[in-house]
Amino acid sequence: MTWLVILAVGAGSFLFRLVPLLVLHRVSLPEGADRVIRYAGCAAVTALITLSARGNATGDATLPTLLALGVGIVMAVRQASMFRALVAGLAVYAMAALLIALIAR
Amino acid sequence: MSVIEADVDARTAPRPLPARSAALDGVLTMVPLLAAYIPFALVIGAAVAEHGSPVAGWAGSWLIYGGSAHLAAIRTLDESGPVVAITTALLINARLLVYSASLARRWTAQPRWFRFAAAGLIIDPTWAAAERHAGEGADPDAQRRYFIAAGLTLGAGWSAAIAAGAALGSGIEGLDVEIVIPLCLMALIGPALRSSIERTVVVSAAAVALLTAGWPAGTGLLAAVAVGSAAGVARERAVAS
Repeated sequence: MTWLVILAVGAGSFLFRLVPLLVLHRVSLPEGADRVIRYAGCAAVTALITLSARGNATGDATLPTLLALGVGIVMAVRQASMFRALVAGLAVYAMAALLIALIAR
Repeated sequence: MSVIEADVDARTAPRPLPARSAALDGVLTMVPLLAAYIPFALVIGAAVAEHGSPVAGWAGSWLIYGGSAHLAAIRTLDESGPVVAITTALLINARLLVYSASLARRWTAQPRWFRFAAAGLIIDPTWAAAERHAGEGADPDAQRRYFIAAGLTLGAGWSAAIAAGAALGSGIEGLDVEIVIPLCLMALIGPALRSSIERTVVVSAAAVALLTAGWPAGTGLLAAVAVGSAAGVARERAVAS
């Protein structure tokens, strides 16, 4: 049964990926649809970022997560490299978490 | 020419890049993202190990190539049966339609074999990286090499990490480094935040994602995509008028 589920989800996911690449290569979309697609990907990744951050922002991790995200946003807007954004965000996260743990003692 | 048209022209203007550097760029872009996704892959591997059919579960790393849908399929299969498992996972992966449609606009000059090969490698980080790379003005050949290199790097690492998670078993369920993934993805969509239109998209999608976080798997994300896109179009019209 596991194979069936994995193959079905894999096939469906591959069609989600392939069909637009094949169809939209031949068909020109109306201007409105083209505009929607232009922003939809950015909206999807933003939603994933939000949900992932929300999952982490619970209990004592809430403030460190929010601070790290704030730093991440600033670094992203300044077009910093991913490595720098990651190092800065994690450093802020670690410092805030440490501070909270010390205060809680 | 409007500001928007100038922006689009600047994004799509071909800029020849050395083919080797494009492939290397693709690999190097994925390395930190891969590091960010390894804990998630280990957790999926642990779930796969607990399941009765670990080889089938691991095969999903390449066949599904999407962590949330993969994990949901395995966990829901045990709890609710195959139909619910398949439906839930496909709902979560429905966002791939959006990524693929977005890349189709970029890849009109790409050969058919590439569209087939690349389809299997489209996922959140590879989409964001490909959009960013194309936005920097890379020519079609460089875009092709970059995407294949990025997708295979992420896929190989992802699959290996799931296998490692399956080998290590359930002892790694407690890993808690979720903050790394949003930080990496944020860096990829960062350039978009400089445009007021895309800032509107980001803020709207984030707000809806938060408000719909309790909705059934995948549906809140689709709502965020719909509202974010609509807000972007509305803002674009306002800027143009």
